[in-house]
This record gives sequence, C-alpha cells and structure tokens, in this order.
Amino acid sequence: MSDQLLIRMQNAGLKYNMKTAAGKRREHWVLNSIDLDIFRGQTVGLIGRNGAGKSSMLRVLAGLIDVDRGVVENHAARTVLLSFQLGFNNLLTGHENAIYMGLLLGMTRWEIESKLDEIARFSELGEALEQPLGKYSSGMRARLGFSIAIQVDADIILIDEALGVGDHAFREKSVAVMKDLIKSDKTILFVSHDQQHVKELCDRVVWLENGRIVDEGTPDSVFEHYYEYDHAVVSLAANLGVTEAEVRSHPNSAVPLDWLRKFRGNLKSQWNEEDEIYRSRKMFGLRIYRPARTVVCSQIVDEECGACTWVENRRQIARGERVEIEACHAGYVKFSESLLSRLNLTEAQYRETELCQRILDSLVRVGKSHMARAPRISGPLGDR
Amino acid sequence: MYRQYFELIRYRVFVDLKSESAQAYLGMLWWVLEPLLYLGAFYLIFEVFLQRGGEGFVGFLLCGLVFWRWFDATIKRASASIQNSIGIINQAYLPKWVFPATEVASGTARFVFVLALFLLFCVFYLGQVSSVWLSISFLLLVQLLLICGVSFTLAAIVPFFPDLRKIIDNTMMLLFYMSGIFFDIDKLNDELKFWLFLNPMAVLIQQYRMVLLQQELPAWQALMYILFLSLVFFVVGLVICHKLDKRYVRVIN
Repeated sequence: MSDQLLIRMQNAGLKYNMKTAAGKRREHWVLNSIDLDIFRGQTVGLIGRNGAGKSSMLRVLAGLIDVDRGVVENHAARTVLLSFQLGFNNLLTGHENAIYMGLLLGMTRWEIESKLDEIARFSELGEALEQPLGKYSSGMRARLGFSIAIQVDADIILIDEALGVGDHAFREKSVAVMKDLIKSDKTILFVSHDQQHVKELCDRVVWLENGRIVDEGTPDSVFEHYYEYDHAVVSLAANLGVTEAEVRSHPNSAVPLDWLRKFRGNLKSQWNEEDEIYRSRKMFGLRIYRPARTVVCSQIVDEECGACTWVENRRQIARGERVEIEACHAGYVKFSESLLSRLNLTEAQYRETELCQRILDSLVRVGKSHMARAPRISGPLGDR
Repeated sequence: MYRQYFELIRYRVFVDLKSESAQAYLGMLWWVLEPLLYLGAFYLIFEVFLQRGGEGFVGFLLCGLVFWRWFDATIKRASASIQNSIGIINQAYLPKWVFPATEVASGTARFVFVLALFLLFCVFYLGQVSSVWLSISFLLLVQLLLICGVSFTLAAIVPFFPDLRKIIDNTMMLLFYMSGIFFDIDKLNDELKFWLFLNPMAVLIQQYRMVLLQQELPAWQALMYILFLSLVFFVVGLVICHKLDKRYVRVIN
C-alpha cells in the first residue's frame, strides 16, 4: 500500500445520444458527476444494478472511451480491462486462442509462450488445449479465459464480473488467485454482484446508481445502504402499485441516501412515541414492543429474542432489553420466510395482523407523499 | 508498441487462414482451388461459350481478374472490419487502423497464392520469362498502398454510416465493369479513355498487362498519379482513425 494516486476522476460525465420513440434525440448520461480517487494497491469493488454505469466506468478507466465532461487522469503505466473470452474463435485450438487473447490484452508473444504451461496447469485443460475451442463446454471456455486473463501483468486491473466461472472447485481456486492478486501491489477495480466476494476481496466499495456515485466506503457500510435502499424500493413499488424503475428514476430518488434518510424518518414519525422499533440484520424485522396490544407482535418479540441474539451497533443486546435505534429499516415489508414459519403463519395471514397492517399503512402513506412531491416531469410519472 | 500491433496482425492473419481452411474438408487446398474456380468460370464464359476476344484474350482477361480480385475482396472485407470487431473494440484498446490493416494483410496473403499461380500460367501461356517482369513488384507495391489507403478510409467511416456498405458493394461492381477487365480501354475514344483512366484500378490493370503480357516497362507517370491518390487515401484514413479513435465504442452497438 502506498499513497500514490493512480486514478483521479473529477466531475466525470459520459453521455450517449438516445433516440426516443418519437424520434427525438435525447441525451442520456451514463456517468454523471463522478468524483473518485484510487490509490496504488487498493482493491475497489464496484456495485450497482444493471445499467447503473459500472461497465461504462471500467471502459472509461481502461481508456476505451473518453468522457464528455470533467477529467479522468490515469497515472498507471499499464491498465488492462480483463475480459474472459476476448476474441475467442471456435475454429482455433485452446492454445491458439490463448496466444491471440494474450496479444489482444497487450502481452508479447514471448510472454504468452512462456506462460502456456501455467495456463494449461491452472485451467486443468491439459491435452484439450490442442482441441478446437468449438468442442469445449462452456465451463472449459470459462476456465481457459480466466487462466489466460490472470497471466496479464498490469498496474491497474479492471475486472467485469470475474468470479463464479466454472464448477465449484474451480470457483474456489479462482477466488484464491484473485486474493493473491489483491495481496500484491496491484490496483484492482472490479464489478460484482456477489456481496460475499466483494466483502472478502475489497477494502473499498463504490455504489453506482443511475450513473452517479451514491455511496462509497467500507464494504459493510455500503452494502448495508445498498440493500436497505433496494428493499425500500421493492416494498414501495409493491405497496404503491408502481414499478421499481419508476421509484428509482423518480426525481425524489435522485440522491438515494438522502431519500433513504428522509424515508426512514418519515416512516418513523408515523408511529407514536411509545412504539419502539427494532431491527435485525437477519430478519429486516420491525417490531413494536407492546405485546399487550397485539398477540402476534409479542410472539415475534418472544420468538425472536429467544431464538437469536440481536446484534445492534456492534454490541449484543440481551433478551428483553429495549433498544432505541436511529431509524427503522425501510425495507421491512419483505417477509422473511423463516420468520413466517416460526410464527406458523402464511404471508397472507401475517398481512392481516394488526402489526403488519400498521406497518403497511404507514409505508403507503410515506411512499405516496414521497412519490407525489415530485416536480413535474415528462412521462408517466409526471401525471401521477 | 507498434511491434505488438504488427505481431497481432501477423498472428491474426495466420489465424484467419487457418480457421478458414479448418472449415472445409479440402483445407488449405482451397487457397489454390478457389481462385482456380473463379478464373475458370470466367474462362468458360468468355472463351468457350461466348467465344469472344480472339487470340490472347484468356491472358488478357485473367490478368485483369487476378489483380482486380485482390483489390475487390480486400476492400470489401476491410471496409467492414472496424464495425465487425465490436466485440474486441468494446473490451480491449487497439488503435483502429489495426483492423483494416489485418484484413489487408490477410487478403494479401491469399493473393500471394493466386499471384504465384498466375505467374506460372503466364510462363506456360507465353512460353517465355522476361526480366521486365521484375517491375511488377513496383506495381504491386503501388496497388498495396492503394488498397491500404482505400481500406483505411472506408473502414474509418463505415461505422458512422452503416448504409455505406451497400453503396460500397455496388460501387465495387460498377468499378469491376469500368476497370477494363473484359475490354481494352485503349481502344475506346479519347474522351471515354480520359474518364475511365481516372479509376486507378483501370490504370493498374493496364500496366500489369503491359508488363506481364507485352514485356514492356510500366508507364511511370501514370503510376505517379495512383501513388499520389493512394497516399492521400492512406493519410486521410489514418487521420480519421486517429481522430475518432474513441468514438467507435459509442457508435457501434
């Protein structure tokens, strides 16, 4: 690790011209006002939904495409975007494909030749390396691609959905290799949807949404916000009868973390002060500590506290202890199956309970006001 | 850096030729068979069925076809090369001239077989070998430069105007009939001659015939015009490729 700055993005923006159905031209900013510094030796995970701009970001950093606004500085001698089946040709042997892909990734012929043994060993393809690629199974192709790609030597390695290729054993092996790569001095930026891998491999996570950086920091904190937002959007969409995309692209959602904070606060203000709201990392549960009023409610409390220890703010909470937390979990109304089974209730029955009704009511109230307060925009949302 | 690109082109040409021959039972034999069939078809039509041209027409016709085909096939493939390489352009950085250059190299490698075959034919057809023939190496260089120039330029602009591909195909057909492959442009009237000889391929084909069939040295002034034209194309193509280097990722999708 060092403090050497390798990549600096300042107010970087990338736009595509889209044609709307009406044939009008419209600008679409795939990346918008991106500010990001990456230092040597860091391993940065890039998360976000499909179309959030992750791949575009990698392409910008790889120098495949120039930004339309702002500055992107790359001080690395060599940056490589690893793609795992680059230039693959079914008619050529695995061996020949390895050479061709290596050349495309910027390795010299000599470099690749000297690593062929290693490629054969790691990919476990052996003799099959001399067979045409057309005869390979998709798992074999993936193994070959991965084995070639990890031979590349560069200061910055950009990886788009690297892991999870091949069978279970190979997957573990590839994660192990990635870990080795990460321990070295290399700077790595990788896109992944796999929370486990990102947490294991990255020391820093950047969350992109609608082309903007929503949050960045340690994997734990970013993922917590990420999933909370996700659940909030899902439950809002389900309970208001709109699509998730409508919630996400809503002007009030432009800054997700602000929105989430407001959403939590509004949701909480819907409850009277005697109620206390608890949160379980596992259950995403929301509870009212007033067993006398609702039977189901107390059952939840008893069951929950009896069954698992609650970890809140990194300390253990004893059974029956009352804890005030800063806000409720906005993504509550995704019913946890294990919760339902423990209560011996179907989802429909649970929805009937007073507790659930109250939660849903307040969710809908808050959600509606959220969606209604929007400035008028064109399209279906504006008329809502 | 450039060494890397040339190595890539070299390997890609090898790969192209190999994968092409791997697709057919007769494999590498097709490099020879295909041009033979191509030339044979024209021979059949003009010499056997139409009985046109009279004495020496076969040599005249083949000489036109062989060099035309190098130009035609290469340019058609090269002009689509950047557009067709979207998979690679999207994932790895390469200067864009590499793509048409690869097609030119691979087209030229194929042409070498045909040329060897054709020279062999000339030896038997004419019954003699001439030292004047050495001067076709200069003609070949000029044509190579022309092919590169046109290929680079077309490859660089086709991604922005995909409809151009249809226009290119049809223009090539028009040029095929206007390059004096089936007839001798020299026998036409002066005005027509002037216009037809503006087409660099018409001039080149005429020069090849002069050197190979009549054992005369080429007309250097005429070649200067083509050399100049090729250089213009070459530079324009490279400049466009360079200027728009990073626009291609956005355009082709």
